[in-house]
Amino acid sequence: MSAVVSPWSERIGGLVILLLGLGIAGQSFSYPLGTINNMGAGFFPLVAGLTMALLGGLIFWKVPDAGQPVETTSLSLRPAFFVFGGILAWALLLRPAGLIAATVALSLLSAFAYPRPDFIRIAITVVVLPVLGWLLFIYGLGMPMRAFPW
Amino acid sequence: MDYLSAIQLGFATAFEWNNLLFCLVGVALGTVVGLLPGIGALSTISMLLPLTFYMEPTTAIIMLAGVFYGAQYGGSIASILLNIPGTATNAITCLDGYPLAKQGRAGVALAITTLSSFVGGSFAILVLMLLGPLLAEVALAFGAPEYTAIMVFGLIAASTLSGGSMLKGLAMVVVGVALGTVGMDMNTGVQRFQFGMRDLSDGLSIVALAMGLFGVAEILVNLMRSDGSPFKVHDVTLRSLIPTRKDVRESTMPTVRGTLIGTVLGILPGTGATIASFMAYATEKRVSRTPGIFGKGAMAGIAAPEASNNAAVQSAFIPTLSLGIPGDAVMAVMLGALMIHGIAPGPSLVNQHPELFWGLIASFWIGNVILLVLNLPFIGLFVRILKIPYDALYVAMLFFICVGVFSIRNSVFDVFVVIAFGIVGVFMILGRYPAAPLLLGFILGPMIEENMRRALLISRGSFDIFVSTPVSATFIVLSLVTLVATAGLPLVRRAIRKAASDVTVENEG
Repeated sequence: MSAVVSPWSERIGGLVILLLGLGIAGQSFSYPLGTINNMGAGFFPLVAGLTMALLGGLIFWKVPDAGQPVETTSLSLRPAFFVFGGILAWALLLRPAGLIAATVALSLLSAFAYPRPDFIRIAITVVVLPVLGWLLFIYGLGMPMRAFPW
Repeated sequence: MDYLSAIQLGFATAFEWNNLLFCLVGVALGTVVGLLPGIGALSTISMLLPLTFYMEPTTAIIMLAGVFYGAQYGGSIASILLNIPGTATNAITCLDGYPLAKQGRAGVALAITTLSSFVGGSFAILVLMLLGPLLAEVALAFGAPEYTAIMVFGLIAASTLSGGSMLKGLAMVVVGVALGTVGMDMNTGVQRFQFGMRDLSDGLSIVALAMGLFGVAEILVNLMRSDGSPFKVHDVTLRSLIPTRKDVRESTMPTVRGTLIGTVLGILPGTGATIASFMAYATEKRVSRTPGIFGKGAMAGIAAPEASNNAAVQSAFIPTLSLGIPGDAVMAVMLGALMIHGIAPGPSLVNQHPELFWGLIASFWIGNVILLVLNLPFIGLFVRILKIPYDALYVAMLFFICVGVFSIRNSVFDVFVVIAFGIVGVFMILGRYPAAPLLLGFILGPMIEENMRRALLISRGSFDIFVSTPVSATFIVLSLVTLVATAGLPLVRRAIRKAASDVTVENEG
C-alpha cells in the first residue's frame, strides 16, 4: 500500500476531538456539578470532556500516525452514498410505507454501491429480501412492524 | 451446590434439544462469519440480538457465545487461503499461513490451526470452570472502589495495548465514556446531552453504536477496497489435511505456550484475543532456534496464535460471568443481551442462575467438539463459502442491520444513529482510530461513573478509598504502570507497534 496518513489529516482529527471535548465540557456546566463527595450530573461529563480535549490536543501536537499506511487505497464516494442512502430510505419508509417497500428501496439503492452491479443478482435480492423479511420477522416472530402501507 | 452436581446440571441444560440445536447454529454461523472477511462476530451477534428476544436466556447466550468462539475457528481459513484475515484476531496467522498455502500445504495448515484452536479453547474452558466460581465468590465482597479500579484498568489496557497509537486509543475510550453519559443520569434524573430529543432520554443504543461503527463502516471499507471480482479459492481435499509427524512436533510446544498466553490475557479486562495472538506470535519468534523461518511458513507461527486467540476468547468469559465486567466489545454486547432478558450480570449470577452459568460452560465443550468436526471433515464445504460473491452478502447484511437495530427498541431514530456512526466509523478507519476502545468506554463509562460516585460518597470525597483496599490499590497501580510503560518507554511501544503493523489489521474488536 502506497497511501499514508498525512500530518494534516492527523491535525484535523486531533482538532475535532479537542473541540468536541471542549463542547462537552462547556455543556456540562449547564448540569448541577455537585461536590467531590456528592457528585452532580455534570461532574463526570465535565471530566470526560476535559480529558478528551487534552487528548485531542496531544494528537494535534504529536501527529502519532503520520506516515503510517492507510487502510484503504481508493477513496470513492459512491459506496458511501448508496449504502447510507439505502439505510436512510429504509428508515424513512418503514413507518409510512411498511417493511416491504422499505426493504425494496434499501436493496435497490445499496446494490449500486458495488463496483460492478450485477442486474440479475439485484433482481433476485429485491424480491427475496422483502419476502424473507416479511416471513421471518412479521409472520414468524410477530415483530411490531407492518408489511404494507395499508 | 457442590461442584459435581453443578457440572451435571450444566450438561443436562446444554443437552436440552433447543440448547443443543442453537449451539450448533451458533458455532456454524460463527465459522461462516469468521471466514468471511468483512463481517465479524461483533456485527453478527448484534444482528442476531433481536432474534434472541424470542428464546430462553440460556439458549440465547449459548448461541451468541457460539458465534463468538466459532468465529475464531473460521477466521484462520481466510488467513491461510487468501492472506486476508477473516477477523482481526486471525490477522497474524496470515504471516505464516499464506506461505504454507503457497507451498501447497494449505490443508495441513488448516488442520494444525483447528487442532491448536481446540487445545487452546479446551484448556481455557477448564480454567473457566475452576476459576469462574471462585472469582465470583471473592467478588461478592467487592465494593464500589474495587469495581471502579478494575474497570479503569480495563479501559486503559484496552486502549494502550491495542497496537495502534496509544493517544488515539485513549481518546476513543474517552469519546466512548462521553457518549455513555447521554441520557438520563441514574443518580439524579437529570437529562444530559439530550438537546430536546426524547429518543435520547434512554441513552444511545449500544447495538446502534456497534452496528454503525463496526457493521456499516466495515461493509463500506470493504466496498471501497473491492474491485468487484470474487476470491479465487482452491478446493481443499480431506487427504491434504493430514499433517506429518514433523508438523505435529513443531507445533506442540507453540500450542502450549500460545494457550497459556491466551488464557491469561483473556482473563485480564481490556486485553483480548487480538493482543493475545500477537503476543503468542512474538513469543514464538523469540524462543525459536530458527527465527529466520517465521514469515516463510513456520508451523509455530500459525499454531501459537490460533491456540492463543481461542484460549483468550474462552477465558474472557471469566471476568464477564463472574464480575459482570466485559473485557471487550463483543462481551459488552453479550452482557447487553443478558440484561435485555432481565438477568443482572455480576458475582451473584453463579448462584442465582446456575443453569445459565453451568449450561453455558457445558455448551462450550459441546460447541468446541462440533467445531472440530465442522473444521476438519467438512472443511471443503466451508472453503466454498468464500466463493459467494460479496454483492449478494452485503445487501442482506444491511437489511439485517436495519431490522435488528430497529427492533431492539422499536425505534426508527436508532437507525439514524446507525447512519451517523457509520459515517463517523468510516472516518475513524481512514484515520486509524480504533473503534473497539470506544465501544468498551461506552459500556464501562456509566458503570465507572456509578461506582465512582458511590465510592466517593462512602469516603466523603476522599480519593484514599481507591488505594485503601488491596484489590483496588493493585488495579490502580497496574493502570498507572501500563500508562507509564506505554507512554514513557518508547521501546515497549515500538515493539507492540511493530508486531501489529506486520500485517494489515481489520477494524474489528
